[in-house]
Amino acid sequence: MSDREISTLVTEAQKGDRDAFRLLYEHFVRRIYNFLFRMLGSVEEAEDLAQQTFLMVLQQIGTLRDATQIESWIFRIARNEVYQKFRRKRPDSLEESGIELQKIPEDRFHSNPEEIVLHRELESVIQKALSLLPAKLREVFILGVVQELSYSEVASIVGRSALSVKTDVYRARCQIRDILKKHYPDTKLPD
Amino acid sequence: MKSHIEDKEISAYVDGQLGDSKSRLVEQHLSVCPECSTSHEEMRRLTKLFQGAEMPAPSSYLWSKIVNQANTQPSRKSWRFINTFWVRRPIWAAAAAILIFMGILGEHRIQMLAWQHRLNGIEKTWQTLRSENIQEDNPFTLALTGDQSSKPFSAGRLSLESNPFQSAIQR
Repeated sequence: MSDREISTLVTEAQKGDRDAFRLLYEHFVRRIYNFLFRMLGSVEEAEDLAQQTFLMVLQQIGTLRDATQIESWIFRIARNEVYQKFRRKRPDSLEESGIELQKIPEDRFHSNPEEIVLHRELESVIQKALSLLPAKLREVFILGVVQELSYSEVASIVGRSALSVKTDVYRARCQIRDILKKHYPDTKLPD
Repeated sequence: MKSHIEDKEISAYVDGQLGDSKSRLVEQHLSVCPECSTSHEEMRRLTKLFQGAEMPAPSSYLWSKIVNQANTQPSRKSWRFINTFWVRRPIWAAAAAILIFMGILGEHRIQMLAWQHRLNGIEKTWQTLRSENIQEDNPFTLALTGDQSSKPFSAGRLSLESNPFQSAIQR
C-alpha cells in the first residue's frame, strides 16, 4: 500500500469510515503485533495489547493531524501500552524488564517436525537474547533493526534524538552479540 | 590505512542509515580493511538472524474483539472535542482558563461584599439595641449595678411587680 493510499484511508477513517479503518488495521496489525510480542515475549500479552492499541487508534484517529505519520503514531500508542504494562507488572521493569518467555505455538507456522524443532530453537534464542536487553535498548533494536524503520522514525516513536537512537542501536547490537556468545555459543549465524 | 571506521558508523551502515556519500566512504574502507570488514560481517549476519525470524501473527478474531469492545464502550465524542479543539488551540485554552478564574474571583468578591453589607446591618441594629437597653429598667443594666436586691434573678425579684422582665413584657 502506497503512502498516498494510506493517507486517503486515514482521512476516510477520520470521517468514521469503518471499512477504511479495517484496511489500515490489516496493513499495520502484523508489525505492531510483532513489536509487542518481541517487547513482551508473550503471545497472550501481545494480543491483549494489540487489541488495546487498535482500540485506542480507532477512538483517537480524529486527533491525528498528519496522516503520513500514522505508522509512527500507532507504534507510539503500542509503546505506551507496553510501558504501562511494565509499570503494572513491576516498578523496576522499565530498567531491567526481565520478561518471562513463552513459545509461539509452532503449528502457527510450520507443519514439518524438523522445521518445528529448528524454528523453536531459533525463536528461543532470539527471544531470550531480546529479553536480556534493557527495555530502552530492546525497543530501538526491534524498531530499527528487526522492523527496519529509519532512525528518525524510531526517534519520533521513542522520543529520543536520532543520534541517541544510532548509539542505542549500536549498544543493543553489542549486547546481543555478547549474549549469544555467552549463552548460545553454538548459534549459527546466517550467511 | 589511516584509521578505522567507528563501529557505531558500521552499525548505521548495516541498517542503511548513512547518507549516500558516507556509505560510499564506508564501502571503500571496508574493501581494504580486514578488521572493519570482519566487524561489518558480524553485524550484518546478526541482523539477518533477527530479520529472518518469522513474524508471529495475531489471532484471526482480534479484529472482531476490537470492534466489539469499541461498540460496548461509551462514546468519547466529548473527549474528542476537548482533544481536537482545546489541545490544538493552547492560547484559547489559556484565555478561557483565565476568564473562568476571573469569573470565580468576581463571584467571590460579590459574595464578600454582600456579607459585609449584612454584617454592617447587624452591627447597626446591635448598636441601636445597646443604646436603648442602657436604661434604668433594663434587667441587664440593673444586674451590673452590684445591688443584690435589684438583680433580676434574685429572690427579691420573684414578685410580679418588681420583676423587670415582667414589667418589660407588660410595656
